[in-house]
Amino acid sequence: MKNGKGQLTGEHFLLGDHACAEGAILAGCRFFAGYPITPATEIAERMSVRLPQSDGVYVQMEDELASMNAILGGSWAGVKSMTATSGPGFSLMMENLGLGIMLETPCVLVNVQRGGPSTGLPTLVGQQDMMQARWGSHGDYEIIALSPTSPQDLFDLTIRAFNLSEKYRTPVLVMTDAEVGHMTEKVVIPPVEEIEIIDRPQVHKGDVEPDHFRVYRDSVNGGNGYISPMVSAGEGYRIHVTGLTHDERGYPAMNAQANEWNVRRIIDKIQAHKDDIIEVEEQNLKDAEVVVVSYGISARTSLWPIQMARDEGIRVGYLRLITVWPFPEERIRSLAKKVKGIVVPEINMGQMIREVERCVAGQTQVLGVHRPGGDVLEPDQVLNAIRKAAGRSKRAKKKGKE
Amino acid sequence: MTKQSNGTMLRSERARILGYEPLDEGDWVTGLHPMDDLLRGERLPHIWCQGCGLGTALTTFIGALQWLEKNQDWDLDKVSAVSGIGCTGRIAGYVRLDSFHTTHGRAIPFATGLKLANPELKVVVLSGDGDIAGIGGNHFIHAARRNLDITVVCVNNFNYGMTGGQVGPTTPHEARAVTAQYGNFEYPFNLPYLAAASGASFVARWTVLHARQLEWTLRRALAHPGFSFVEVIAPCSTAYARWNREGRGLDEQNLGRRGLETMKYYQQVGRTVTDAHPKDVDIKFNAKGEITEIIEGEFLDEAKPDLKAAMDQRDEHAEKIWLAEKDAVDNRTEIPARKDHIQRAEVKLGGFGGQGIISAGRIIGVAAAIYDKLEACFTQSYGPEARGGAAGSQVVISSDPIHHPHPVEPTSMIILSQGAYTKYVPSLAPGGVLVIDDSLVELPDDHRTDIDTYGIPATKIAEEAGTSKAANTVMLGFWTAIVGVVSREAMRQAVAESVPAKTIELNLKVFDIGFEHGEKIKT
Amino acid sequence: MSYWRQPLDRKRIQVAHGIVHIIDDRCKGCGFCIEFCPQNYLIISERSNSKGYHPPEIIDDQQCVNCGLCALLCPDFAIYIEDGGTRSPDKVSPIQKGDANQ
Repeated sequence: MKNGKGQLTGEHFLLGDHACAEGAILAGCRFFAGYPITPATEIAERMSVRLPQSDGVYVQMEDELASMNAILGGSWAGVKSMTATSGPGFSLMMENLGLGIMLETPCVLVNVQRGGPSTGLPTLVGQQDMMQARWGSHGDYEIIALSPTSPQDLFDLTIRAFNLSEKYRTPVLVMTDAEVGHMTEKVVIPPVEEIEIIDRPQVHKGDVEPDHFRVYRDSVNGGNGYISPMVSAGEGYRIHVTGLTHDERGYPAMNAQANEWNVRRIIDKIQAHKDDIIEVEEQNLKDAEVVVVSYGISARTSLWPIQMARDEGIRVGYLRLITVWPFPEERIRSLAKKVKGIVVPEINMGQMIREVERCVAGQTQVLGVHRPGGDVLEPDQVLNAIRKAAGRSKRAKKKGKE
Repeated sequence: MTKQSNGTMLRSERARILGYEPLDEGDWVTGLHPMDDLLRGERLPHIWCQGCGLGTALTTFIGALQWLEKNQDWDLDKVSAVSGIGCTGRIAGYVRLDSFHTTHGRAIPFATGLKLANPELKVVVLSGDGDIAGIGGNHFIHAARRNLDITVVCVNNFNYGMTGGQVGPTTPHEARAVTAQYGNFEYPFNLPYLAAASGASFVARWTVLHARQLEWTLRRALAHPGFSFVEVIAPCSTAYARWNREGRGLDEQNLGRRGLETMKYYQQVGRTVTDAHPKDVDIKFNAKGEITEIIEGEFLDEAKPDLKAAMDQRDEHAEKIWLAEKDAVDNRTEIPARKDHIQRAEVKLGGFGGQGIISAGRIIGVAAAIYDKLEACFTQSYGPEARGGAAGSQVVISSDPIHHPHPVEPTSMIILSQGAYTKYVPSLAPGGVLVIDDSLVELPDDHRTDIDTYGIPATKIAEEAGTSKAANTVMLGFWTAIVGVVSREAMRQAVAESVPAKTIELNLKVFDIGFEHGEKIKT
Repeated sequence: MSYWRQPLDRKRIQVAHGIVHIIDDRCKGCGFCIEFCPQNYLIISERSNSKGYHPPEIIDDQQCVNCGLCALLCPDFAIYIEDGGTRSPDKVSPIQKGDANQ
């Protein structure tokens, strides 16, 4: 499937979900399998229109179990693949997210989070799947998850998600939410030549003697010990891959030793490259007495109360997790020693705050600003938490303007 | 593939490559059998029990592939085998093709991805009855419905073998299984009928006893364009045969070979029928759950476009749409960016479904963000997806980055229904601007006095101009003139690019009427 | 068989002949090849392989008609047939089942 055709550029007033689809197409995604679910449906809709225009394939599967599996198949056929869903579908995808991790399959899964649990709040925002993103599939593994704040950011991070997944041969999650997905803003799409696009290390017919090729060891063509070059189906290598614990050849190996080798491999390849994977956005951290640590839409809405607090004279810093998983442990640890308090706003009853607390390890106070799904956090909620963390008395409730 | 001359790998060599001593590998010597080229000798012998029919199923599959390679120039490098979980699922691990051992029931969706992403591949799913018809039943019927060009070989042994012989979706009524020791109270699927009814274009069934016919059928199934389904009935010598008569009783002396007894049983109950209708091929059993007849043969071979071919028929249409969209973007009129600083302005639009409340909001966003080069964030309130229900949308506009995406206290409102008036107007900021369609909204006696209210008979104006559907555009013109957050020219451009081509002229006309009306009232 | 009427062209028809190869160590003794050989010329041998199974044995290497059913039915890739050309049908007559099991 060739690149270039059907790629949109220029300025557009785009729905977040549509921006996500455009990002995927620019990143080289040419296979999408999905299932309709609010508020992620618009990604599928856009892909169903745009992929046939870009020599790609869109298929609507019978459910999310199938969607996740189909994109693994698409990826093993050598094509960058993506699916998108929300809470209930995300739960179904957990099964084969595990398979994707085990087979070391590059692909992107977008979760436009809505309020849960269960069918929950289909049209309204939530950030309640953050821990599921990390631990949702059974067994030990590492995951990469990114969290955007706007349609432009969703566009950019979808491209980054593809790049990371191709580079580290692992499924990458884009943990956006109903607010960003259903928000329409200006999105600037640069020409494809100006975008960094990473393709998986790959072995083609004739590169290596097939009998000596090891699916999970070889380091030719840009691969290294932990990230082996990928062989697509049909290249003549007659590869075998399995969701069972396997050895370097991809063959099942039913013993503790092989399991250790296998699990360490999928964990280490991400742990060892944390510096490259983890991205945070920082503002005013140098002199900060209080730091707001947040992600996604909650990080964005926190910027207003942060401004209000700074206007009141509180030295508030801002740390936004662009990469949510792996968690930027070191950064939080070093901050914890310097500040009076950390405020963690999120649209759930307390998920990422657990990670913050783990890293802070009692060195400073951690205040959560929580609400279950349904709406973004009110500026006053965050402002009050900042004041409390800074040790200021609560002022009269005042509604300000940006 | 050339015959492997090196045969088995030395254990020490294997250990060197693996980095540890393999614990679970046999010492199978490869290169001895004509089918060894297509077997992963290093993984053999296989795990299947003595008398299990899976080995035979694999032999016929390899036989069919070798025949296709020899007689129809198939490149076996382009054949992928996909399996799910279970005894049959192990086939992927033994056959020397690109082979994928996926999760339980999910072989078909994985194969869907492989095939659609690279149509050059020949994709075969080999899995068991529990995998295909039980946990993967939904994937099975949908792949058949799509007539996806893959071959599904379902080896049916009437129970879940790998886990020890539990009852499954193909276990005959009243038959015994580990979890149906009092007799199965459910009824089994007729798999060929299920496949055919779902849309499969090639359907067949053989017992492994009829290995020759099975191999011939597999050749045809593999070469068939579209969804081909072959049910292979195979003995489960260890589990199902132990619990049911098919594996015992025929030869009292031969209890150690239940697989063989089952094969002999198939010889008794198997009946080859050409052109049987799939609905008539259910496996017959008696009141005790003993199988009394297995109809075998090819039941369906139909030519119809497969999924990818059907998709490709749409390419031209897609291309046309794309070129039109690209053209619109490339030829967009640029207007000078707004130089004045716009304070955060929050616009709320309300009415009922069908009035164009959502598109009007979006037009404001396009005008502000694309033409006036401001920041704009447009969101909509989701209600029931039906015309006539309440509809609301909102736009936040500012020269500065918009952190909070929703209106906190709207500075202006565009209201087109009484319901929206009641719902939204109380939240309008003191001093805010309310514009209403006064042919639809009646102000109550207690109407707020701390806001500026402007009315225009938008629906009436639009009707006079040709269509009531353009009432929202009248309101936009009116609002633009009064509030002034977005420029008139930006709004006109945004209207022009957002409405259907045939109605551009009409919409611009009523926009101007609304705008001029607003200008007049304002002064 | 001898009771059957003989085809008039029997002398002109040649019968395929196969040379059977048994890979002893792969055999798991399921008995499929022995049971379903149309010529009934395979029996269970006295010898055991490394797994302790008794692989099949050929009682008359003239009798194979190269039908290939044993190779196709064998679940363990333990038996295959090499093309042995053709021969006059006079030399081929299926062994009666009773004889084979003696």
